Amino acid sequence: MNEMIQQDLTALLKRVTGFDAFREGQEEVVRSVINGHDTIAVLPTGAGKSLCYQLPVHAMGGTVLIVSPLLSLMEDQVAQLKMNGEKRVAALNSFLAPKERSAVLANLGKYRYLFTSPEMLVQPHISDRIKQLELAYIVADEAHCISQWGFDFRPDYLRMREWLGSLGERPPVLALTATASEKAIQDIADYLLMKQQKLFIHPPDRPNIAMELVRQESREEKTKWILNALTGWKGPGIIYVQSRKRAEELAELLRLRNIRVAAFHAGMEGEDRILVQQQFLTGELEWICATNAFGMGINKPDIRWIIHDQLPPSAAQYIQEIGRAGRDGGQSLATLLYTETDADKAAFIALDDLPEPETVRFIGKCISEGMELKEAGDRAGLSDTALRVVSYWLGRLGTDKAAIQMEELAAGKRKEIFSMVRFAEGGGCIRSRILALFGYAPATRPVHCCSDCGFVADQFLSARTTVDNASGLLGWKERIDGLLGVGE
Amino acid sequence: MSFDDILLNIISRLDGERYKHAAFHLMKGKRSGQTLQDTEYYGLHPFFGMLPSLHAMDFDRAYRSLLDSGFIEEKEDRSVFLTPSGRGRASELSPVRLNGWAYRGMEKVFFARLALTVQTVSHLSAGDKTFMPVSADPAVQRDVRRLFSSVLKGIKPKDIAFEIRSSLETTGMEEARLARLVARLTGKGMSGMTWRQLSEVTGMTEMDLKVECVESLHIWLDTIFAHPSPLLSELAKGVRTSSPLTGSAEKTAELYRAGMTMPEIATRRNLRMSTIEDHFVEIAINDSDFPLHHFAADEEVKAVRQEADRLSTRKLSVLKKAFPELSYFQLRLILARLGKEGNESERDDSARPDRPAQTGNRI
Repeated sequence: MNEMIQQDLTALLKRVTGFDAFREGQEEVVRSVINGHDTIAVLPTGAGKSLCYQLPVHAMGGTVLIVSPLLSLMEDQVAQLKMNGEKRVAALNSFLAPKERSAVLANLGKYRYLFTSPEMLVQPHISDRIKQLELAYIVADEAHCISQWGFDFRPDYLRMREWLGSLGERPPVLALTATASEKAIQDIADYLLMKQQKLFIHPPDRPNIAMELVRQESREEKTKWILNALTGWKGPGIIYVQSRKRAEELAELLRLRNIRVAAFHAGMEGEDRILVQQQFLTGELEWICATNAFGMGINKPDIRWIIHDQLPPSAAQYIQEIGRAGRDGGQSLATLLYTETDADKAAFIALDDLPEPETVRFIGKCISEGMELKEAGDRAGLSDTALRVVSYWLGRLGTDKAAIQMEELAAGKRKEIFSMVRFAEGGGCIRSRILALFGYAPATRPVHCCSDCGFVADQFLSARTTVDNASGLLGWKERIDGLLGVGE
Repeated sequence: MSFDDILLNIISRLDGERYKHAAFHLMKGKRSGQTLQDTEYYGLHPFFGMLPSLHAMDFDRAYRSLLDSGFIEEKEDRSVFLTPSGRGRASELSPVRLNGWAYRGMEKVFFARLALTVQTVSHLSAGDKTFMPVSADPAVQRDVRRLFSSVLKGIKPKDIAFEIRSSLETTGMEEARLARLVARLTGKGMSGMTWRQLSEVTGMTEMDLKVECVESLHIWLDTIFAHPSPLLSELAKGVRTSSPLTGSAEKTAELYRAGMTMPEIATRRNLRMSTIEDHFVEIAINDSDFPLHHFAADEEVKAVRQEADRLSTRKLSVLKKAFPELSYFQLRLILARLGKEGNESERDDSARPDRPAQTGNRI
């Protein structure tokens, strides 16, 4: 295919989306895909990644296959495309009823965007149908999940490799992610069988997020700091905590100070989790005290402040979480509260879910004796995620090597935690030091850079002047009329 | 009624005959022969399956609180009975309006459909086509989507509000209770409340709120089935159990009707004999044509019934002592039919063409 000239791409952008200009980083990626190159694009959260896979197909025709490891994210993207008026879009995933699945399969060729999960992709009858399609290119979304070094490694995602390997001649592959270490980028290229791939990396720097590092002696001091800060300044914001108990505890203390806050964690009923997200989106809640279960797929542009009550176990996770602030471009703040004991806690949590080598040997032995995988996992007391990881490596490497693999994974995680500890305990510009963990330096120094370079919070945070009073329950008739927009 | 009171109510019906687990399994709607029998013997249908996701911890907390308040006690064999003060308390309770047997947790589906419908109408009528659905369940989303191309087509929000309000008025539930029920609904700019938030506003515990919500929905659904209306009847579709048998028991029943013996069914279905026995007890409870005489002689049935009445007990262990020659399975079947056949036990038992003749079922 010929190199496309700039006017053509801008005209295409205008025609498809109505935008006049690309955002930084998008155009090169789009061009690379149109020109048929395998492409890895690392763009910070909120930089407009989806456009990179949505636009090229309009120039190329055919169908885009988007493989996504997270069902919720897939649903969000389908909904988003439909909302923008795209009708030729479908998702093939386990959410579908058998009837709907047949309907989608019968019409596969008609879709412009076809989303699917790695598990679906390797099912023979589905795989065969997809192979018959005229695929413009294949997208691996959230591609960092393919690297076993990442904080959200999904073993199922590795199945994409098998599938790609089974294709004879294949269209270009586009891997998209917000954060990826050098090692993860290498994994992505390997596992996706990329050839002469083009790499587009944009530092995960968000100049509109000021970075603050606060060292404390104890958890009690952290609590005091948070209560003090939040009674002085307004959100909206998220406090990331490490446990459900801590989420509940902080939310309760803040609520007693008349701050509109709720806890969010995986221990809550699904309906309640949706309600909390909803209230946060509409502004009925100002703060969320959340475990890292919160944030995927949340698109609230005006989050002003992210506070970490605990040291995150990796730089990638930290960047991902603070990246939820200031998507509207407005000046925002990320505060990391640190005490010396954080490292142990972070290590405990990060390694807790990772099976010990002995456990891997035990599972391997059980399976060789004919036990069901599920039962072996129950006996060893493994979580479902951990069991998936173990079973993947057992199948690929055999017992001994899989056990060694677990040791390497643990060592990798410990190393990440250690570099976060050094980051938290070190001195000098915070922005430069976190970017350095990814191998970058900030392009410019923003006015409100970090607590080391100095920033003036009252220039961008709003002071809390009024107090919200909790309201009682509305009468049921009034509420029904209000909900349905029926005025009396 | 609070969760503690519901538990007291259940124990008052099981008085002295069962362990605490019986009440737990009942509320969770366990489909075991034992729980189904208990439901039948002690008339516990309102409570069956009322809280399918009940946690043992919440149950234990309520149980302990009843022990601590002196309403219940345990015998040496750990079966639980009411104290005089518990009896007093139980007699003061307002009548239960739960209907667990009919809905078995499906009231949640009704509410999820309602909530998504209300939310969708709310956003659409505000000209807003993009919102985050309150139900992530694809089946619920599908059901509601279908409504918008059928019963909801061309209907005004005003009419929907009117239909919901009229139906809720017909239920006769008090105002404050209805306010708590609709507080969980979401619309544009008005999100529903979480259990925690509702608890903060009302001062009730989350557990009591959840139990009340289940009962309110049962009351409402009973009303909707008695007084159908266009939208609500559609939302309530399929939430009432049509067959009293579980899917697995139904299959066993079919094979039995086709003439297979119990051991043959166990082999064919690759199930343990005890499971097949559970199925037969379930069938006996629900099928008025169950051929009890194929499993026990009429004199035996009669003798067991008389003894059960005399001792006013339905405890298997007690009856087994009195009839060592009968198997537990036979006793369970006899108990399952207790009070169902009355004087008909002497009725004509000429073999029916669709039933197998006497098979070697005496175990």
